Amino acid sequence: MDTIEQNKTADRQSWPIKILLFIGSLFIAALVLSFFIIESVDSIAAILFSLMALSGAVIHTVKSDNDTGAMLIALPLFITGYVLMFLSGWDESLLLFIQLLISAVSFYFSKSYSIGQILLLYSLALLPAIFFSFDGPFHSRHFHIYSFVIILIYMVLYAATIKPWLFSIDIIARHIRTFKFSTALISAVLVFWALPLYSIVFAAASYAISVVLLKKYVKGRNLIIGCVLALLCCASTAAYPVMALAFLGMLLAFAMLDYVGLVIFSATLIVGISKFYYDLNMSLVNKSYMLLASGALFLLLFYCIKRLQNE
Amino acid sequence: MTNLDSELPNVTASKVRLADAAAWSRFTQIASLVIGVGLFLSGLVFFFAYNWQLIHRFVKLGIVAFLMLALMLSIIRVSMSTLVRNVAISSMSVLVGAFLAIIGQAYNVEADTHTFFLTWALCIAVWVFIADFYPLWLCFLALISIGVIPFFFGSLWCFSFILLYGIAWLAFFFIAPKLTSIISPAPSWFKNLLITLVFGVATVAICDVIIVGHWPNIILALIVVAAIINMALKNKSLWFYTLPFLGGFCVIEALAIKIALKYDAIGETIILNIWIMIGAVVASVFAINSKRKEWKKQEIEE
Repeated sequence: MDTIEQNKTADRQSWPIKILLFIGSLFIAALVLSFFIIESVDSIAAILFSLMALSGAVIHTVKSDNDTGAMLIALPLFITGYVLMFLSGWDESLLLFIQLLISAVSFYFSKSYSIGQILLLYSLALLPAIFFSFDGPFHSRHFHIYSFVIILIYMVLYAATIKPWLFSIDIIARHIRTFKFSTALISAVLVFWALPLYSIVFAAASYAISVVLLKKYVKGRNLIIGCVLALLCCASTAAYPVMALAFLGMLLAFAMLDYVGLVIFSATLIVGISKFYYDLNMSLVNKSYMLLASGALFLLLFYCIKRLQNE
Repeated sequence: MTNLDSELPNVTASKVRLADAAAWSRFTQIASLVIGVGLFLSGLVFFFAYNWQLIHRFVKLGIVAFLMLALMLSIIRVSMSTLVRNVAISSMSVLVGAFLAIIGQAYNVEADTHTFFLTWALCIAVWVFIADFYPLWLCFLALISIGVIPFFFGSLWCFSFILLYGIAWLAFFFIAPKLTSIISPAPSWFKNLLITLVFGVATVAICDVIIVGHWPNIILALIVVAAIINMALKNKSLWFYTLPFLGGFCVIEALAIKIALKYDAIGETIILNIWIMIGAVVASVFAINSKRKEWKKQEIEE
């Protein structure tokens, strides 16, 4: 058993090699694409070559489980195929949908772990891109609704990974870490386009989670004090959707001890707080008073938590 | 047979590790403390930034001096863990820089940037030795390097001087802990970072030789590269084994730039360069991978 485990870990690429392989695949894809760009292929030819490249990529990943070969052969073919699709000039939504189908199917049948990771991340990133390509201008009302719906779906999926039996399909279970990382990262990026109104939903969800956790670990008078403090904390994040989602994400990530997710949402919180105060329409001195007051409140919260813990 | 990884056993187990009460308590304390201190300090900085022009220079200097004194008294009087003490000494070191900057601004001292950083480094040298805190050592090295290295610019032997400077510091951190107990042995991240930086300078020196033609620097640069390869093979370090390959990519790019400029053939050079880089990346991946497997096999056999 030990030998099998050692052999498994011996086959898995370390991250410096993965980075080198990724750089290599980009060079290969750039070289192949440069021929098509120089020759200025027409729309039909671009689609045909794209489908050929993608077929080759899919066949390779289905047949071979060698990560090195997949990164140097299949990945450049995927990149070439997808870029050629965009060069064809066809309807963007249709192309993105076709790419999503191909990525999802390839991910399901892929034997290469690294390619599976990349395809999963790309598929999850394509979903919002498809919705956004259906509508016209970048800052339309529908855009905000789409981003909110997708964030909700992805955060629910992220939270659902706390129950592993929900993801018992082998292929998903194998990539559960990548799945968590992708849903967290895409939600954290999309939230910057959310309307301020949506922060109430995220703050309410944070409060619900806080109350559930408090009821689990705290009893009596401390429970009431804890709920009040949690309400103050969640309400303060409701001022800006980025802060609200980041706080919700941090609670979920820490509950699952997902440190990568915790880093993503912590960074989002810092950016959110910075952007919130930067965008405030008030003088620098008033901003400084507001920051001092907010800081003092959180320090008071820290003091209250420490006292409750000592009791 | 697919490439199974360590995620599968964790997920197919009936339970996933969740945070317990003690973890939540620590998390809420740290989060509220960090956010509170961060917001409070930001407010303080913005307040002083707004009122900076109105504040008299003695008050400005007094504020920084007061903070330094308060930190020093707390380090001496208050019992604290080694990490907190080291962070406090680091904060004091940063305040020294702020103090010197305010003096420079208030009295229009015509010191150049190098003198400022060198003065800052010399003022905090004793604290750096006493703290023996390697993140602070790193800041100290950065300050002294910003002060010293620009003096080498303009000379034909510029890169050789910089390499000698780097090698001298490396030797200090390897030898000094053996000779005196005041300085603890440097952690591996610190040594690896210094070695990587020295290697970076050697690579730049080789690229400089290729593009500009400052030949005197080639000898020392090649000695450094050879020494790092030797260290990689001796210590079985994958990172140090990878460094020469990364340096090789930079040298290939330098050669491509030289050829493109010399023969005025940018388009052809780009295509040829891509081909060569693909070959170089593939070869280096196979080389690094096979060396990694060889070392792993030796480890298992031992």
